[in-house]
Amino acid sequence: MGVTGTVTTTMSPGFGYAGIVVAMLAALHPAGVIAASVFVATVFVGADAMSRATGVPSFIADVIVALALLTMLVALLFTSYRIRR
Amino acid sequence: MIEAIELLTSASLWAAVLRIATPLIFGVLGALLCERAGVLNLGIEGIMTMGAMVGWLAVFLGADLWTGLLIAAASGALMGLLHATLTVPLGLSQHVSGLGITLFASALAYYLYRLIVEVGQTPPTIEPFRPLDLGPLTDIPFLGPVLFGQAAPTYLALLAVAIMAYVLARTPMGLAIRMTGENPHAVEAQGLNPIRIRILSVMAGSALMALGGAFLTTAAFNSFFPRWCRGGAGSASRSSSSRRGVRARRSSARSSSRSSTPTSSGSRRWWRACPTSSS
Repeated sequence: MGVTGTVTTTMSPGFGYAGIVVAMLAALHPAGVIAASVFVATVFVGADAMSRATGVPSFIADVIVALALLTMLVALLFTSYRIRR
Repeated sequence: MIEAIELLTSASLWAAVLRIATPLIFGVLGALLCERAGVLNLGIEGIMTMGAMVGWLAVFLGADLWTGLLIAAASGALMGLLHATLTVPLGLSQHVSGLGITLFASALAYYLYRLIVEVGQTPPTIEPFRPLDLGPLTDIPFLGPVLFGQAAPTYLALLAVAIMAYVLARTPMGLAIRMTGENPHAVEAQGLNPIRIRILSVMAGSALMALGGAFLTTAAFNSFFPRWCRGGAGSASRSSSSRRGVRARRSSARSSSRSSTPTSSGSRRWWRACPTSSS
């Protein structure tokens, strides 16, 4: 509403799902949420600009964000282990 | 009232019902198999989108229809392998991983589709599965067109239900799968490997889901729509499809504020023209 100024049937923009990604990227820490949401927003906005400039489909943003989510999941798991020599 | 009765007794309605039920049957069988093995697969939406795109693309690039289905199933199994690897040996949250698979698979499908296929105002089409003509059986009034006038994969789906029921309930393999879901420790005590059983079950289930998606693009319709609008893939499908709207709207809003932005909004307009029914 603040973004578009209108209400439409496609109003629910999937931000809820993006929210899950942001929460995981922030490692479930409140302070990390700011950095994570700025990252996700940068990818989304950047993909639109990139798609106009170079013709790369803007769906690449979703691919990157989803990959970041999966990578972060695995990375979070690995942080709970310690390498022994 | 009369009109409603006429509609409900028309053969074409029930034929369409059975046709649209087919992807649901495939998807549900896949979800059932994963669930019985003890893994929640929330990636079903993305896997079906992936299967729909891959199956369609294979046929579009010159493969046989059945080969297309096979390739779609293989792509689904690959996504299932990813999900199973994350959730079973690594033990990550099945919910978050599943949602991640949904986001990843559907985004990858849309991206590859956009990258490979030249899309104009109308999406390119393929020659889909034709309804079977079983001769005298199809000529039976009402029952003929409904039960015997479907495309071949519909019968495959019904057959898969019987096979799945038999395998799960009557074979040692099915017993192992069900036991893995209910008590993995007992499976291990029996000398079986629950991790392997879970991974293989999730892969097989995901292949079935992808088949359901591929049915949408190779039999129910004849083209792949980014922003797959219908709830063909189940009630969860709203989520991933609706997010595109904002992106399109956002970019069109920006294009109206700036001077000229040729690519985004114009080429995306046909998404809105998704079929609401195939009849």
